[in-house]
Amino acid sequence: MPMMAMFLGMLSVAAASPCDEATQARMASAEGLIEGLDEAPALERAAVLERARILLEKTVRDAPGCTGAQVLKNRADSLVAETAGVSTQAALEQTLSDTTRIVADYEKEGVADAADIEALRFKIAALERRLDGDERVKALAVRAAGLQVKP
Amino acid sequence: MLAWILLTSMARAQDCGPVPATLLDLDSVFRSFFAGGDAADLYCPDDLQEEVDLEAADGIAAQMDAEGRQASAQRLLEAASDLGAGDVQASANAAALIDALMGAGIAAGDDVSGMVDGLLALAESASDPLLERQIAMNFWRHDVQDPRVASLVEKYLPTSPDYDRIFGDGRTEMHAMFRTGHDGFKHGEIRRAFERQGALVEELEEGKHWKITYKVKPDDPALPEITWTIDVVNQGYNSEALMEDMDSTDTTVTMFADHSQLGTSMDRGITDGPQADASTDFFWVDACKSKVFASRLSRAYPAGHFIYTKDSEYFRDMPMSYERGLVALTNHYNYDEMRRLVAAGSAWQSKNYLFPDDSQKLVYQDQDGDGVVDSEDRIYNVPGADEPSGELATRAVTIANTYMGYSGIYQYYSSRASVVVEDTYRPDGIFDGEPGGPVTRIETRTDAFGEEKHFVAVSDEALTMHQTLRTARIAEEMGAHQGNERGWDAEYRDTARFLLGAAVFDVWNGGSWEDYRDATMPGSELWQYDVTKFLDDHNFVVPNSVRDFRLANPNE
Repeated sequence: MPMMAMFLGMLSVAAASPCDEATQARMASAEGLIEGLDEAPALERAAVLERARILLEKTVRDAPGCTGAQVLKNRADSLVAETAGVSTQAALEQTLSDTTRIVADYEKEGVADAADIEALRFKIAALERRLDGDERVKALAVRAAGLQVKP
Repeated sequence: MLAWILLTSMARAQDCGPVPATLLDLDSVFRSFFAGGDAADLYCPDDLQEEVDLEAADGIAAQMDAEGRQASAQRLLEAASDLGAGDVQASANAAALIDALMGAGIAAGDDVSGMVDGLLALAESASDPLLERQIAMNFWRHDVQDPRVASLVEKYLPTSPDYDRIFGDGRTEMHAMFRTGHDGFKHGEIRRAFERQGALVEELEEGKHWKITYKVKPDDPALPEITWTIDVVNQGYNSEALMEDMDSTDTTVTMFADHSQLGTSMDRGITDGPQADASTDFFWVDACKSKVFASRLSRAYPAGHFIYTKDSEYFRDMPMSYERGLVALTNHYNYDEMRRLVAAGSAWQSKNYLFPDDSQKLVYQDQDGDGVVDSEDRIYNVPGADEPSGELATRAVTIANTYMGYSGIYQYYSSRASVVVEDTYRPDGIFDGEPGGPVTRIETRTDAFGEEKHFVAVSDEALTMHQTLRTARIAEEMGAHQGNERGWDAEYRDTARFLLGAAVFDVWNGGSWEDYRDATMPGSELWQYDVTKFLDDHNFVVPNSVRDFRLANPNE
C-alpha cells in the first residue's frame, strides 16, 4: 500500500473512532471546568458546572460511542444539586449584603424616594421568602419599615 | 341543484353582495361546506372577504366523517391555490377552514397528512408573511409532528439565536449595547458583574457612558474566542434611540435595562426605530414585566429575537443575565441552553425570562392586530386600512393585567382575594360598543394551554380613546369583574375597580387626580382627599400608598 493511502486510511480511522480528536478536546475542556469548580467563586460555581454539562451533552450527542464522555457527563450531573445549593446560598448572601448597604445609605440620608423604598421593600419581601426565619432579614425589614419617604 | 337554489335564495334574502370573479371557485366550496351544517344561513358570499365564522366551521367539521373532511380540505386547497395577492383574506379564510377540518380530524384520529401537505404548500405560496405565520401558529396549536412543520414553526418560535446574523462573516470582534438609565448605573452593579469575570470596565463619562471589554473563551475548542465591546449608556427610558441598531449589522446584540413604566418606557424607541422587518437581532428587553412591550415589538420587528420578563426585575440581575447571555452566545448555545446557564444557581429570578422559543410569549402578541392574542388567534384577519388597530386593545388589556399584579388590593388583602390575578385575563378581539356603555365583555373559558382564563373583548369605542383612558377603563372593568368572581360585596368590588383605574392615571404617585376624575367621572366634583379618607377609613389601601399620596398632595 502506498504511504499516502496508508496515511489517509489512518486519518479516517481516527476520525471515525468513538473518541476522536475533536471529542477529546471537548472532554479536556469540560474536565478543566469541572476540576476548577472548587476554585471558582461560590456564586459562579453552578454556572461553570452548567457550561461543562452543556458541552458534554453536545459531545455525547456527536460521539455516542465515546464512553469516556458519557462517564464525564455522569460525573458532572452528579454534582448539580450540591453546586446549585452553594451558588444559590452565595447569591442570597450577596443580595442580603447589597440590600443591607442600601438601607444603611438611606438611613444616613434620612429619607429616600418613595419608589426606591417600594423597591427595597419588594426585595426584602423576596429575601424573607427565600431565607425564611433568618434573623438578619427580619432585622433589615424592621429598619426598612422605619425609612421616611422624601416629600 | 335544489340545495344551490335554496342557498342562492337565502343569500339574496340576506342581501349578500356579489361574488368577485376571482373568488367564484372558493365561493362554491364555501357554499358546499356551510350547506352541510346549521350555519348555512350564516354564510354570505361576500363573507370571503371578512373573517370567517370558525365556531360554525368547527361544528360542521366535527360532524363530517374522515372522507368528507379530506375531500372538503382538498377542494379548499385547490380553490385557494389560484388566489392572488389581492385576495389574502379569502386565502386566510380557506386556511382557517382547513385548520378547522384538520383539528376535527386530529380529534377523531384521522390521517391528516394530506391537509398538512396542503397547508404547507399554502404557507409557502402565501404572498403575505402574516398568512404564512398564521398557518405556522395553527400547526403549533395542534402540535403537529412533522419535520417540515417544525422548520416552519422555528421561524416564529426560534430555538436558537441567529448566529449567521450575530457573527456575520465570522466576526470575532463584537460590539454590543447595554442601554440603561440612572437607576441602572446606581443599582445595577454593572461593574461587579463584568469585572468578576475579568472584563475591563472603563468609565468614559461618570454615570453616563462606560465601555466594557469582555473576552470570552468558548468552552468548545472548535469555536473562536470572542471579544465583546459593550457600550453601557445612560439614555433613560423612553429614548428615541432604543431600537436604532435593529437595522445595523455592526451591532446585533442589545439589552434594554431600565424601568418599564408600566408599558410606556419604550414608546418613543419603538415609534422612532428604523424599519427592519427581517432583522433577527438578539434583544433582551430587561425591564419589569416587559411582556407589555411584546405586542408592539413583535409587530415592529417580526423576526426579532426578543427576551421578555414576566414579572418584576431587579437592576442587579440585568447585567448578570446579560453577561451570561454573552457567554451563551459565544458558545453558540440554543435558547434552552442559554436559559439553563442564566438560571444556574446564582440568578435571582431566573424563571422570569421568556426566551424567543417560549410559546408563552404568544399570550402577549397580536401580530395581525385584531385584538386577539396569537396564542388564541386561529385566523389571520387582514388589517383594514382605515381602522384603528386592535393591537391597542391587546396592549391595554396586557397592561391592565400588570396593574392588577401590582395593586395592593390583591397583594395585601389576600384573606379576601387571591394574589394570583395577573395574567388571568386574555385579550379577545373587538366588539361593537355602545357610546357610554361598557368597554369590555369578559367571558371565562379554557385557553390554548388548557388553563381557565378570562377573555376580554374590547369595544370599538375604546379603540378611539387615549391610551391611558382606554387602559384605565379596561382595568376598572377587569377589577369589577374580578370582584364579582371573588364574590366581594359591592363596596369592595367598586373600590377595586376605582383603585385600578386611578392607578393607571398614576394618581397614587402624584399623577393628576383631576385628569382621572374628569375622564372617568365627568361632572363629578369629588376631591382626592375625600377619596383617600374614605379608602383609609375602610382600610382599602395599603398605608404607604395613602401616605405617599398625601405627601404628594400636601395642601389637601
